[in-house]
Amino acid sequence: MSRARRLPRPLHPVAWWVWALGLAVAASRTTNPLLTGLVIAVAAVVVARRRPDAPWAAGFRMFLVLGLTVVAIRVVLRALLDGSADGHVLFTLPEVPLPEAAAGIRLGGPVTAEGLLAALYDGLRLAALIVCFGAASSLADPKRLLKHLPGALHELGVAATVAVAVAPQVVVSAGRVRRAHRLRGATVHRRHVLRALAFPVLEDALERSVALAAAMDARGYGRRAAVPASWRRATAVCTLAGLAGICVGTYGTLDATAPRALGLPVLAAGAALAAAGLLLAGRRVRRSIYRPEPWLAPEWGVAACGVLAAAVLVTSGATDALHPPLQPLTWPSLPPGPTVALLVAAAPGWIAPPPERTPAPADTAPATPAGRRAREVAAA
Amino acid sequence: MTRARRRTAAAAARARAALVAVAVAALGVSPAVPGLPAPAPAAAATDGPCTDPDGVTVVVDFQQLGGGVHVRCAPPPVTSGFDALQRAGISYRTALTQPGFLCRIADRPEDDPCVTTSPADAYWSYWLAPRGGTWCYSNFGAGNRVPPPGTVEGWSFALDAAATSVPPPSVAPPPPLPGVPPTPLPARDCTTPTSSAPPPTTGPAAPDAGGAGAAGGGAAPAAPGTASGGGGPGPAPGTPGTTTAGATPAPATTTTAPTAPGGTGAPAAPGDSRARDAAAATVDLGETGDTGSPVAVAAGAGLVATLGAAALVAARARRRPAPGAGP
Amino acid sequence: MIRYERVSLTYPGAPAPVLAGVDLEVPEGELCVVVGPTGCGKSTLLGLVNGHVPHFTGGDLAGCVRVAGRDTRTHPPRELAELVGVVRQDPASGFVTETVEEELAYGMELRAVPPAVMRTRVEETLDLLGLADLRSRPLRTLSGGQAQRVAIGAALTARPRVLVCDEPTSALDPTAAEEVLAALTRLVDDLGLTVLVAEHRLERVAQYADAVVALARPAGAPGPVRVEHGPPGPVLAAAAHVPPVVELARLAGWEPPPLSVRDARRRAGPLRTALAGRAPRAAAAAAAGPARLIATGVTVRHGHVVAVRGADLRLHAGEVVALMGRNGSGKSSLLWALQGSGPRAAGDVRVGGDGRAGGADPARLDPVARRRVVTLVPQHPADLLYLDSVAAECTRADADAGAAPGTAAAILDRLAPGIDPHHHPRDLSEGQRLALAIAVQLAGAPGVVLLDEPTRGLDYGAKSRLGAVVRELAADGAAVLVATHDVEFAARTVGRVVVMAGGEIVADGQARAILCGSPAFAPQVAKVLDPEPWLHVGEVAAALATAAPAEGAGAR
Repeated sequence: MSRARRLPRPLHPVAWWVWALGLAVAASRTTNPLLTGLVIAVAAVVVARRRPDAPWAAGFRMFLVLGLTVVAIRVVLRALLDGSADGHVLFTLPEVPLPEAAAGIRLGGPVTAEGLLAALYDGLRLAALIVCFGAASSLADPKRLLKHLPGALHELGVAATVAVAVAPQVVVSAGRVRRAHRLRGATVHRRHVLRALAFPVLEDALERSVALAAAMDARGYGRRAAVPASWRRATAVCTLAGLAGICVGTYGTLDATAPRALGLPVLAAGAALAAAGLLLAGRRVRRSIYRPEPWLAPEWGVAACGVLAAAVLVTSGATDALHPPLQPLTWPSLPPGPTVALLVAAAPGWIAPPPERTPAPADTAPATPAGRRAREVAAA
Repeated sequence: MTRARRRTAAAAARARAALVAVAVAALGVSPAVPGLPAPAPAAAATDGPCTDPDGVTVVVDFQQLGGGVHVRCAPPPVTSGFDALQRAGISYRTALTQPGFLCRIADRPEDDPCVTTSPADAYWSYWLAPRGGTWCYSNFGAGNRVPPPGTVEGWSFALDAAATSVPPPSVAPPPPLPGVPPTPLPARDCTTPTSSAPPPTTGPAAPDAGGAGAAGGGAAPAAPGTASGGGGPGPAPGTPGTTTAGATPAPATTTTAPTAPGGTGAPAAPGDSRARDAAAATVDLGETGDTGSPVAVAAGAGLVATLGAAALVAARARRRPAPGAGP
Repeated sequence: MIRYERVSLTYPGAPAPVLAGVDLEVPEGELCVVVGPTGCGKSTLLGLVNGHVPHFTGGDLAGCVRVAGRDTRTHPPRELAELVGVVRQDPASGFVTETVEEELAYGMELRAVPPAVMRTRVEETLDLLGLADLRSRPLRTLSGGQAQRVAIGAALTARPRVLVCDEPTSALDPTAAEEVLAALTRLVDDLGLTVLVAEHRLERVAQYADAVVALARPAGAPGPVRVEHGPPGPVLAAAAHVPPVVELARLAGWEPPPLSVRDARRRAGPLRTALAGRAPRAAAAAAAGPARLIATGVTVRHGHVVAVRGADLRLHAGEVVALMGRNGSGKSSLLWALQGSGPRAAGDVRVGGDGRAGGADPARLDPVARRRVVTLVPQHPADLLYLDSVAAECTRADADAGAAPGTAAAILDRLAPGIDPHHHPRDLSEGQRLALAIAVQLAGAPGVVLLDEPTRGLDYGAKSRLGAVVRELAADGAAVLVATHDVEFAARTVGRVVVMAGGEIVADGQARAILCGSPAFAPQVAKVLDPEPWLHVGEVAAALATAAPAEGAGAR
């Protein structure tokens, strides 16, 4: 690898997301705790080595904690609602009798090793999915990713970006209004509490939205390139037919009694038509990307690692190696193929160029929510 | 993947005990491991319908899976539908996320990953009957129901069956024991006895687990929905290789396979991967997967721990050279 | 560059047009300031330039507006984007992206400018506006002046030929406002941009203007607005609301009036001589009453940020005090801590004692009792209001405060006469809404009144009414503390000034000493008549009036 390529630079966000999606697909194909644990560890290594210093990249630890919480919740719930009394009973909780209508649900009662392990396996898989998402959003700015959406979805992407930014603002203005009401005395009538809080906050949000809309309008948001009417008609036809095809195809795949020809072929045709419609519609939106990241060898490599992991796990089928049986209890095995594929998925931690490290200017306020709040409160 | 031969019971029990110990340690609960009540031993199970009036007869029909029809007896006391299978020496698996949902019997169908509930077009249906009665679809899951002593439990694989035409086991429930009035099913257990009740049980053939020798009916062709779906009638499911003929004498307990209800559903399309060639239908009802070895677990855990440590080291390293740069 | 041809505009549901028959031409490369009282159509006039009015707001447009030959009737704002850049009062409300650099590039991305061109333009703009150090900073961490410069930069990267700024400095402290205005003048000088600015605080912009458009509503009749257009001197000489330097010029009879402090100083020699030795009288509220509020060592922290650090403050009955300082210097945090609703990490606050000891800590009082001794009108007065009508708000306030029915309504009538009690509070103008909030908060007749930035968005008339009310409150025995950026308002209204910086009180003393001693806070009159410490035109007029019999002609 040449020296120049190793210069610190941000990797193309799409490459990171493809990698993370591949890892997530791989994780979703197995309940083997060794493999799901491997997915989590791989994501953690890559994030630790290639995460940029930007504020949006600081959330990975939160995703890890969220994943662990999911595992804990699943295990506890399974202990409470263990449906099967068969297997190795670890301990017995007092059972709560439930009415007839709840037949099939048991609250309390014996807790089996099989049940708890099942919850652990399943929880780990979910945690792995969460961690994959967290890794993607820590490695690549989701907003940069939205810029790479097809042209037709560009405006949708901007709307999503703006909507995400609005949520914290609403929280801030709700806090402001609540404090203002304390100034008036605590006698906001019970009947008025919601209204007293909601109206000013909504009004504020609405004013912000209108101001933002006006500002974006003034800057050229929503401009359309002129296209011939026939193009527009073709776009409409493609999109509508594509959507219909996708609906029918989905129905065909899900309903076992429907003819097979109605399933995948129609779904694929619908998806292709819809994609064509998107492409056509994209011709009406003209835009460019500021400082676009190039797509070079490291991007190919990172994306390929993710795709490889997904491909290996998907083609491995539903074997006992990927889904270790709990009836009877068996040791999970470490299937060589998937293990190697997942280890290869850790390679982006080395093949991706390192992120740029910008030393923070001395006067930068802490970018934490607390700091932001402080700023807003302190602003005179 | 190739399946290892069944290990000796002792070895398997040791492996399981170790796994349970790990599970207990991992989950942070620590009851005395040696005190773990082991699952009921399968040794007491007998082939053929129960002769003990308190036993629960279990009928398993592999239908298109190509494993034949088996009748076994779970000796009392039976605490649940799953327990009946276990006591009858029939191995089964439940779905990982749905512990009350049975997904495989004797490790079939193999292509069901047993993670969530089985697909709606290929699953094991659960049937109930009093002795000498007719099959009816259970209102309960097998884990939530205590089979009354002396009744019959049926498991029938439903492949591509519409909701109204799920095939009951293709043999009728065994007749009552002489001189013992059959235990009726509680009314709430199942409300809709299948409309396609099998006709009186006078047929000669018995594709029963007892098979060729014991039933005296010989190896009659299996139920139309069973064997024909398997890509050719082939040998009857009750080939000697299936199970050994048990000590069940009573020829009266056998029923005919050809009289299976019409609701069995259309034969599976030839070449359907879920339908097994009947010739290969040598089913060991107690067959289970490999219990694996703790070595792989240790290796995997070591791998995960190494990567985790690498991540920690990398995270520490990036914090050190640029203090205050990262949030 | 911009041509209004017989433009009339009526908003839907309005009984009369906001603008009627306006003919106006702004030539290329001119910095044109639009002045006029609130609600006279300044924003409408500006919005017409990029088609925001009527495409976005709705309304009935007669006549036409052409920008560089393009008719705004047929071009919506997004198609005029490469011709007209827009900067608003609150820059943060228009930001779409997260960082300075991306925000500068956003408009170009929408116009499919090639990446290489974008890159060079962003660099140019960063240099032009002095933003290079901020390039990768998150937008939300910027100060007000920085954010406003980024907003101007974001409008500029699209290479517009016209820049429209609607009150670009009204939320800024004096230093930040200077920053922004200097940037604007530089654009006119360097790029030949045509700039149209609306501004309440004329004293800030008049000196930079090439032309002034004055909008005035004829007294009494709600008829169409009168529009005057011309060079700044003559137009301002005739305008109703003028900056202090023009007021001084009228008093001294300078013709045409100077617009900048520098011009005024060059002509103020005789006036300075005439006023020499007539030291302004001691502040009226020299005889301070008993202390109403005693704060010692007040400290406020938000997480790791110390907003206020060990502030000591005494407020006396009958006193109006201004709390000044840069944006973010801790003024609001101190006010909230003094009121008792906000957090306070350390220190002690006593309210309502007899001046030496006693008194209660407002933070320990329950909210109802608290508001009877000390009240705060927050920066966004609308936050306080939540009922359907002005009358309901007043009734509620009386009940909350335990005051006699009609108290709040009476205060409101004094502050802003003629508000229809059936109006919804949201339909009021900014000034009216502030008046209502003050009336609601004063219903309990508290001994201490705290006002947070009350002059934001007020025109000269509303400001002078507010000043009168504040002084009246003090005369009735209350202690009033006003946090403000508005130097001229402070010069006219308060007797004492407290300056905060970095969370600490750095100066506390007579308004005259502090305001005249600091270049950043000095009012225009003080700058013109330096070194004599005159604060506002009223003082000069009074001094001249007493001097007139003796040497009245001296000033001429």
